[in-house]
Amino acid sequence: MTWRVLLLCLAAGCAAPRSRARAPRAALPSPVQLVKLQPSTGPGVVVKLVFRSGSIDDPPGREGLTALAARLMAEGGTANVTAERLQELLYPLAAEIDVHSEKEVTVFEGRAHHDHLDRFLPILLDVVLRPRLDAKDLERLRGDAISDLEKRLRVADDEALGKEALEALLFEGHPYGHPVVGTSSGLRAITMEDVRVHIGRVFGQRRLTIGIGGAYPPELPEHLLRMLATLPEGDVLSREPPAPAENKTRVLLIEQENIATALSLGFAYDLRRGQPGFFPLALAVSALGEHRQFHGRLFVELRAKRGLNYGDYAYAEHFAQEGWTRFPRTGTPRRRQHMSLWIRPVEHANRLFALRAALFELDRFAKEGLSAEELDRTREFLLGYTRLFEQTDSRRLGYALDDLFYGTPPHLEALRASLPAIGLESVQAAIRQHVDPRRARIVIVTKDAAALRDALQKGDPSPIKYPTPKAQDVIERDRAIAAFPLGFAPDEIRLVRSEELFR
Amino acid sequence: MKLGASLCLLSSLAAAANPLPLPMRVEKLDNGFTVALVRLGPSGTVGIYTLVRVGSRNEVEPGHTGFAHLFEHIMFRGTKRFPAAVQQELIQRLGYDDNAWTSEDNTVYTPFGPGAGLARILEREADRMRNLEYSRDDFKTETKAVLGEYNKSYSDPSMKMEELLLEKAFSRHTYRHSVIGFLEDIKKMPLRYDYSLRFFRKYYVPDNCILFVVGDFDEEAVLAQVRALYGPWKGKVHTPKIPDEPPPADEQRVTLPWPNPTQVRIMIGYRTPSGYRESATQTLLSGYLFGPVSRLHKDLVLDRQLVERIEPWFEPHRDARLFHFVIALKRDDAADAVLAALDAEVERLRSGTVDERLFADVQSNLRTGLLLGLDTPARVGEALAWHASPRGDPDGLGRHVEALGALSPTDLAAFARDHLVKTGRTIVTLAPRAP
Repeated sequence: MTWRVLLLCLAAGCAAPRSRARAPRAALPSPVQLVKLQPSTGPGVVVKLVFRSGSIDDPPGREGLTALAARLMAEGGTANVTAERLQELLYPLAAEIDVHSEKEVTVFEGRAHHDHLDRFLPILLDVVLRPRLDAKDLERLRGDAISDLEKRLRVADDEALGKEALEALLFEGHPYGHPVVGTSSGLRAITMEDVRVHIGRVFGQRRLTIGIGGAYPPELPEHLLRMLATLPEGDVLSREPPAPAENKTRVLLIEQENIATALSLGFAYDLRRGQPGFFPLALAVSALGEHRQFHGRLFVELRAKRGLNYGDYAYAEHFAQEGWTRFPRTGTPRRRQHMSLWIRPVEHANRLFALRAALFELDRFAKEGLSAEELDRTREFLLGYTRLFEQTDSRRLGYALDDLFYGTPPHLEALRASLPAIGLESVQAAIRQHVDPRRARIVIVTKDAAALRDALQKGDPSPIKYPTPKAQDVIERDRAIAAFPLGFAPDEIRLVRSEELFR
Repeated sequence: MKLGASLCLLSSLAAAANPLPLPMRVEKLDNGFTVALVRLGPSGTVGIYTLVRVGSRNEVEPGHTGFAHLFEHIMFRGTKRFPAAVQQELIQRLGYDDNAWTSEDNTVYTPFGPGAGLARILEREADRMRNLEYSRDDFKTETKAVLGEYNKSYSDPSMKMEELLLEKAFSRHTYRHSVIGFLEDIKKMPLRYDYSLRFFRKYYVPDNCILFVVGDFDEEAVLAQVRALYGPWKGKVHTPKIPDEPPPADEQRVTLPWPNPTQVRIMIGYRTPSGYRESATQTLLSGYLFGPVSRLHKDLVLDRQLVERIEPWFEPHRDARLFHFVIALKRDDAADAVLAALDAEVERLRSGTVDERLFADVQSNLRTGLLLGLDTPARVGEALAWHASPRGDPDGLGRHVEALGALSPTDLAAFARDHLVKTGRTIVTLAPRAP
């Protein structure tokens, strides 16, 4: 394969690409592309090897194969060193090789001090060029993945379970329809031969983008290109996933032995970065509930005024949190997106009221949109707050690589540039076009789910009792919330035990 | 006072690598309030981290656990000048990330955002420290949010395991309860508004706080503003009567039944002393015993595959607390074999056999990791506040790094001999329902 390289220079002093007149298609990574930030002065160097391969590439019956194969590459040693020796080489340097698989991409991220680059790079390259693929390590990592699925996600993390089950509900029967980590049967069925063949297919040149940031030497880009030229070509990119079919199930109740009820709701839609309406809707959704901040409408109404729970947030696209920060993780781009609401666990006694409160707010959002004042202050908020998303070389590089996936100009810069021109009309239009509460699908992880199913079917009002007097406006709105129509037909509600999921 | 040199102690740990330039300027006001300024490169952002040296350690009255953490919530309820709605709008318009954390020893408020908002954020921070005001009804509503926080953490058994471990490991000291407090106390919180007012007045006082301003800002302008905002603040910190903890008499083992079929986990804590040197030793020991190149990791995780992961939980504290960690089993029936391996490894260390190569690798990992990790004003602010907490020294991070660099393999063995003893050990084993 001939290496034609697209160099994207991304930093102050480099002109940003002009916005395109039409919504771009998500860009394809062939020919191999290289994204490099302007070198920085810090001590660290970051290299991201992004493959356009994710759980959508898992063969039927082998759900989890892409993520497991990637972990085996990153943690299972190389042709030259065992898994144990790999750690012995990296650890004294405080160098790290992480891998993260998502629906459509897998990112191998290497980080090291620039003084250690000579020792670090050959290891990082060997991880993708010459993985060891030892059967013992496959068993170890398979066991970890099964445990993550069966002993953590299903039974020890209700909020994560709710989110994962919501995605599975929105994308049932779709390439996005199973967790990235896999399913119980899929993980158990994977053989070493599956892994070997799959690596050759999905971790090849045709799907690779190289990203470089930090205090790297000038010769690093060329060196990486030269070394990675020996990578097999692999398969071409998977086709764009279709729009998911609307699931007949509107409410999925998950029976769980717990002390509080976790709620997630959302709907898939045909909107993503780079498309008209995305920025106005992203602004509106920030006003509805910016992740882990105190000023979103949902947070104020459900937690601050009513004390229902710990927090309530909304998302205009798939969201994963970056470590312990409140910022979105990069490296999770998707061509099919969904909007969602995250209602943190509420007391069982308040679960129906809390669900109605969330639906009430979503309905109000769809019908009324934002006020001029909300628009104004959310615009100001995003102008400043999004600067915090790009504080490290790794995150700046992550955004640049995501831009390439979506085929857009630099996302955060473009968002900030668009904000002054976003008016109420464009916000309300984006909401009208993309937000339809009747399409919302709901996942509830709770105890005695059958009782909740009965209550949902009956649709009787569900008033709430507080330990403290409330303001008149809260009391009045509570009446409307308590009687908010649900309208779920019996066959639109499904009840499962948590252990039945992702089998 | 300039303390730049002390933080540059990192350079002595960094061997031939670049020193970490964290020049710190510290000023103590007449009322005991301390401000520490750390200017970094031109990021355009600033972290404004207020360390209040109050945590669950201060909760000495029986039945009143969780109040330090409750204030982490209440402090967002506002003041006359900045009522909650005004505060929310201010934060939003300035584009700040606005949060806080509470631990056993400290509560830290962590607004982080564009430098242009610094002056206004400082006004708000000073005002809520000095003039917090919340109604009885707001108080009750916020206690329900705390209950919500407890509830959201409950599905992971780690919280309950730690509650049990602390209750067993301590009989008198306030480290006996967790930061969020006992569930029965959280449920009674709505009735304790008046108590909350007294609690606030005892600990939210100038000589109990250190303000760290980290990032891209004008040093003189900030200092002048800090003097004006915090200088008139009055009050002296209350010293709580924290009961002395008697020496441990014997090893304690307890089993926690769990209603869901999650993995078997073992949480272990050894009673250990506090102090810069002691904390540095335990930090190093965490890597030496449980890190990815440790002998236990190789044996239990990679080779025999009895264990999925070992998580060190040690953090520096003000008083003697625990060297503690969690072992998540891969094989449900492996608890005895895992404990035997742990005992053998600890005994090896206690006998004076220290793998010098491994020791050097851990030391190298810690110093380079620190250099690489302090890459944003927020991360620097977090590290400074955390390490300042145990002794109230704004340069606690420098002291910690200095102590790490001074350790030798024989120190590790001596510490293990003195403190990793079975009579000071508590073990909680999770017994989940079978699938």
